[in-house]
Amino acid sequence: MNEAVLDGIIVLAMEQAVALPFATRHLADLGAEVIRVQSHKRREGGLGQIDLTRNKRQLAIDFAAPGGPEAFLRVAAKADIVAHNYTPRVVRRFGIDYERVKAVNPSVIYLSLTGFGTSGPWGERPLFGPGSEAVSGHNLLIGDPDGWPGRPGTIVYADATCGLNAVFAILAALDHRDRTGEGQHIDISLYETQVAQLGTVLAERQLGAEPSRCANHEANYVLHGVFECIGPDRHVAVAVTADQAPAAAAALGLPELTDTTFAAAVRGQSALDIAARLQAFGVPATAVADASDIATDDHLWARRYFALVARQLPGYEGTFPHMGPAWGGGPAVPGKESHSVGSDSAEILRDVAGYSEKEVRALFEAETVGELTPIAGSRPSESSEIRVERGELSRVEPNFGRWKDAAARAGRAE
Amino acid sequence: MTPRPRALDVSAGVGAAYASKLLAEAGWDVVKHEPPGGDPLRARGSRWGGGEGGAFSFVNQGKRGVSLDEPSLRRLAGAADAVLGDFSPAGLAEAGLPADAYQTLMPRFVVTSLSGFGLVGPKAGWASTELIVQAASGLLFLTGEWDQPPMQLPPYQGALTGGVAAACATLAAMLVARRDNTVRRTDVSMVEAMAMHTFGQQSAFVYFGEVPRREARIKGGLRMVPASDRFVYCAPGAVATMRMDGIAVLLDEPELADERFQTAESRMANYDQFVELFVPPFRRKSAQEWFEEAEKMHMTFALVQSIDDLFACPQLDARQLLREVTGPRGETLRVPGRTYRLEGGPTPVVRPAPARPGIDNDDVLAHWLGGR
Repeated sequence: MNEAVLDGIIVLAMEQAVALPFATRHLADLGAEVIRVQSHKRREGGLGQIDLTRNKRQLAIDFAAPGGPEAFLRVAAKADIVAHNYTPRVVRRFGIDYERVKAVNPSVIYLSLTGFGTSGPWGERPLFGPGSEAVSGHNLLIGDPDGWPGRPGTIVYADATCGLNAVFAILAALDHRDRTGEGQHIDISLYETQVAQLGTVLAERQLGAEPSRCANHEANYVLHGVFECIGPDRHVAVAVTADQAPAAAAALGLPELTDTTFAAAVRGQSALDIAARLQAFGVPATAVADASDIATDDHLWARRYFALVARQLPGYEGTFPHMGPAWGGGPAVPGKESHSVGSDSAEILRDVAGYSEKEVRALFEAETVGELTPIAGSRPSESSEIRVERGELSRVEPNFGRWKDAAARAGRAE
Repeated sequence: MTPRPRALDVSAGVGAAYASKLLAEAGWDVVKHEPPGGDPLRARGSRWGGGEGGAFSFVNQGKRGVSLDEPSLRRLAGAADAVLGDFSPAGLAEAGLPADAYQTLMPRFVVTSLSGFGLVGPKAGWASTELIVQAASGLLFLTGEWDQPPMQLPPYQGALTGGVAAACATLAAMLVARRDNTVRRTDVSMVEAMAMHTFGQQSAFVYFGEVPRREARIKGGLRMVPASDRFVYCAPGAVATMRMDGIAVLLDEPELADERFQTAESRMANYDQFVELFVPPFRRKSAQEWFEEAEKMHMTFALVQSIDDLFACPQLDARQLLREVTGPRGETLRVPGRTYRLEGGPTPVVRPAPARPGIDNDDVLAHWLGGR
């Protein structure tokens, strides 16, 4: 169970896309007051946003309008952490770079999250998460040796990795500030955090390894990979060292353990059962989990992994499980639905930045600040059935509400 | 100057060792304990064969090394702010730790465990490896081509990501434990850390019952295509807004500007035609040429770099991400240091991974147990 360790900490984040919102949502999960800044003149939304904006307050500023940058700086002066994930050029143009913020808040912890970092020959280049996977070397290591390069299975892989590194950097900076009073500028990038995730490979390469796409091969194991079981797109994953081979063979009653005998033994069997039988003999194995397995996993529910978020948005009324902090234990604060864009603007400008009611009204009238009405999450325009037919979805489960049974078994029914 | 916070690393693998490496990069004084025979990671080779000890050298840089009997280890833990380890049953044996280490080591503020499935819950005793972590997290199911079985990610992604999560948990616990002087014990699971990547797929299921699968072709065009010399990553913009009219100009293939190819859905519906138009033109020029031309048109292409390319990358060079450390047999290795740059803040101590178990015993015992 996490504690609200960041209670009283103010985070001001001019954020977009995934990486920084993912990081600041973790700070909100730890009790920080996170103020999300975005323009009220541009829509950004979708169901996924709930994982990126829950428990945040919303300030909408048009930085091109008169008084926009000043409003940001007046809130920044009161913040413990100021963060953005725009290119260095944009941040300089708005006048909210580290030097400007430090001038009004000397002990500020300021975080720039960019594609390549704020300096160097590529420093001004934009880069999205998936591109950073390609340029950092990940993609040439994923997939079949005869196929094209692969990608990590989610569009947010690099964003989430970078975001989690950003959480670490911010917590370390808070710890440092607690002990010394000193702030700092954290300059973190998608590219560099993805390269760091390949640190072991860089070292191994220089010691003679030859990294390549090798499907599910692993030289340290005698049996390693995924094997077809019963059901649509259903596999068991197994990793057996030479020492464990007799145990794996015994678990399945095989005279000899090879890829062929193993594949034959598990074909037509339940992946969950095979994994449990192998685990009973101490052999590392699991069903290859899909979203349905995760949402109904008694283990994850027992560990209080999920954040339960209460929602009122039309079409989404109810309490739903969402990803908790990456380190587990669930959020320290109750999950509340995102506020709509800019809906806390007046309150923040008045209570945090110290603007008078009259000044706040003037900023609204000049459309420097504003508010957007909430919208429902965007959904693919085509039916689930067509998407199944095209192989985009594995299937659609009619009884998907059964995650509630798993929640109830763990004593977390709402 | 205030003393550096201290971490005792009792790891036996990549995960907890990486967590304490991150703390070392954040200015902590980190000491790594090993059994007399050494951390088994010292001998571990790569997924491809060869490269023995590379992973050890990367995740244990910046630490001093000790090898102690149990009473001395317990005293050293008492002088640490945090203890981090791979406290699964297998990890305990490999690290030469007593069975009750997670519960009984008493540092000042926090004990952090990193394991595959965590220390409590119905699967707490489950054996795990990197592949098992990726598979149980929901990520393996989504990785690979739509018409192939699930494919593993690059090495140690679960252990490293779990390591970053464990480092976060350590700091969060430390911030609060310092206020009330009560030790926290945190139980971090690599499976849970990796599951963070699948939040979008989770929502699709709990709201609509949809089970997303390997999606390589869904967003048609958002992928790597062979140029004349090598692959180039050719997404002309952010996914949600990706249109093909710009790329039609770049590739001089006007038909790509057709409405049929302007959304992810319509590209899927016309996938074969799309691929026939989209892929062949890339053969005309090199990856570098396409990259530069796309940049002029404000499209975010990317170079598809290899590991060898990273050693020659001008951006990494300018940013000094890679630093030189000594490898397991005295080699000079260039490996990533701190994953971000700092202006202000602490300066990390740069040193290679301990050359052998216990190499700094005298030094560390005098420093940590001789009083602050």
